[in-house]
Amino acid sequence: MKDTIKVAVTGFVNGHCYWIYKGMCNEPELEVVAASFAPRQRIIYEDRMGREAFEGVDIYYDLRQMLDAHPEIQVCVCGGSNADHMEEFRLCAERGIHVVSMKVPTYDSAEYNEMIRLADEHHILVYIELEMRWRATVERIRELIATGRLGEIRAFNAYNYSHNPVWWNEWVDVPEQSYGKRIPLRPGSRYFRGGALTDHPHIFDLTRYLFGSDFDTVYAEVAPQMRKGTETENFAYVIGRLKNGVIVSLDPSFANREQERPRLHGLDLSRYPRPVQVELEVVGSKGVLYADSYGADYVECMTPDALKYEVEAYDLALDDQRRIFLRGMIRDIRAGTNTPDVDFRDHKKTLAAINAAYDSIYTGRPVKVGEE
Amino acid sequence: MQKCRTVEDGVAAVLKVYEQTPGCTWAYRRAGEGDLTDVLTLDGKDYPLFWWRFDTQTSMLHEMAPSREPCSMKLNRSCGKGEGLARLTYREFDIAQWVLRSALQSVMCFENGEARNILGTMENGCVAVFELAAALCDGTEEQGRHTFWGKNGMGSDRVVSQKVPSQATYLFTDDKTQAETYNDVFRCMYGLEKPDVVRACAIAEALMGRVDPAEWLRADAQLRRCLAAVERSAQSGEKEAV
Repeated sequence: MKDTIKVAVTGFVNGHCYWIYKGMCNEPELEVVAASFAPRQRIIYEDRMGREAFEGVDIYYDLRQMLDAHPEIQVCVCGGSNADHMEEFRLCAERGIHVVSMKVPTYDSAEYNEMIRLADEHHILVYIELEMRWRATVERIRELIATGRLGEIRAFNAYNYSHNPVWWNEWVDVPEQSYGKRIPLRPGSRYFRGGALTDHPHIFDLTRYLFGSDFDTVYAEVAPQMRKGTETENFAYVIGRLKNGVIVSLDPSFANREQERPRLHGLDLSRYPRPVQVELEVVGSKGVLYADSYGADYVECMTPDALKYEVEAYDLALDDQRRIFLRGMIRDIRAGTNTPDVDFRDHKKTLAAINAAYDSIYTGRPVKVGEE
Repeated sequence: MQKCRTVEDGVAAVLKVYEQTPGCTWAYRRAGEGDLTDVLTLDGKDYPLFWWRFDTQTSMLHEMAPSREPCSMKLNRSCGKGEGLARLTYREFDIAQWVLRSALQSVMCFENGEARNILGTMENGCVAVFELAAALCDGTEEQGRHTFWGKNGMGSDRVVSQKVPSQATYLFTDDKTQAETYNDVFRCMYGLEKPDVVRACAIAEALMGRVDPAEWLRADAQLRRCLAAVERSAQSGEKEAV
């Protein structure tokens, strides 16, 4: 019997922490020894998962205290707001603790460079949770492109719609916490960076993954806000060109509605019509491909309480997807290798494209995507 | 029941239902080389035929949009290679302006062979995204989706998660793997598929005086200015005012 790998979670304000935590609890090779978060998050998660949610797990309200008290921790999920990630990362890296990062390590280029430096200096693994990379549909598209059946690839269009998580993760709509600083979308605008474009890097990552090319130029616009009371962008539309000539249209908008019930902690998020939709289109000189990378096996249903109509995709137990993701990290730790699906250093280029899109919104002009 | 076989048959069928006789001579010509749309000739004068405004789903979007207070619209469309990007852009621009009730103010375009992506801003502040391609085999039903989102709701001509347009009838037989489909719309035009039904409706409405084709001429001039701005943007790599 192998020794279990000792893991911990900190922050717990990223919506995906719930799934990762469940995945860790279900993985016999992992042992969750501690968690640290703000007291409110504990109440939220115990409401959601039951009072036994953290049974056998040492609870802390301070990350440093947790790490000092548990030198056996080998892996930590850094699940704070995006603004918390740098500090979480540093505290872990300096102790040689491997990091499971949320999809956005940081939008601050200097911070990102510091994370890379820390990872190199302390020889830690960094696994980034970008769930679209786990989809078989994405591999199908890669294969179909490679066969040449679409001819020369001309365009890639994708959307990643979701409800706005602000109604249960308030930090998502606080620019300092989501984007890391308060920057108006346009000069004099009352709205700020940190909304849909910040929260949905997946289709930008897929673009680079599918076509093996970096972004060359992007142009972006935000539409008027759909929701009252939000201060970060609801809609963002990005078009542009990759270095290999393929043109793109990427739409990460919070386009799906939800009820405005800010203290809703349960699973009933009241979504229209699906909580998340991710669809991809590839245009070639010989045809067009349409794909669904967020579950094409859907059912329509009506909830028994309020008779709300919903469309639900059948998903192979979200816990298992996270667990499979974590098993990659387990293998690397045991083998002393470093082979994550998403390269931590390379992911910086994806976030640079998003920053360039924000710059385009600000200036009203197309922007060349640099290395930052 | 007598089947309609041509757009002209469809027009005659509609006029018969309403017991109307055209008060002018008319002729219909499908778009050809260099045309941005089909042409309706009334008493010798040519008018661009804005047939898409009579598409049952597009006109629904037009009707429902104001109450939803639109913020943005996405027009994703792939057509046959023969149709071409210019004609497709012309049509999709009109749909965006018609649904959003506002003129395009500026456009930014990236183009690559058979594909063209455009971000447009409207005079009323809405944003319109155009993802256009002329890459399908000629004769294939056009694919895509028109969706708008507003402060007070949304509207789309595709049901959530649907990838291709649904058909009215699917026939599966034991001698082939693919279904045979039919998209009949109105009983009085039985026999015509939807693209021809829509064209017949547009012509019949004009002949009955229920729409003014002069409005299509005015729109045509403005749409040509939009297309010119797109060409400039594709060349300059900058956003261009219409």
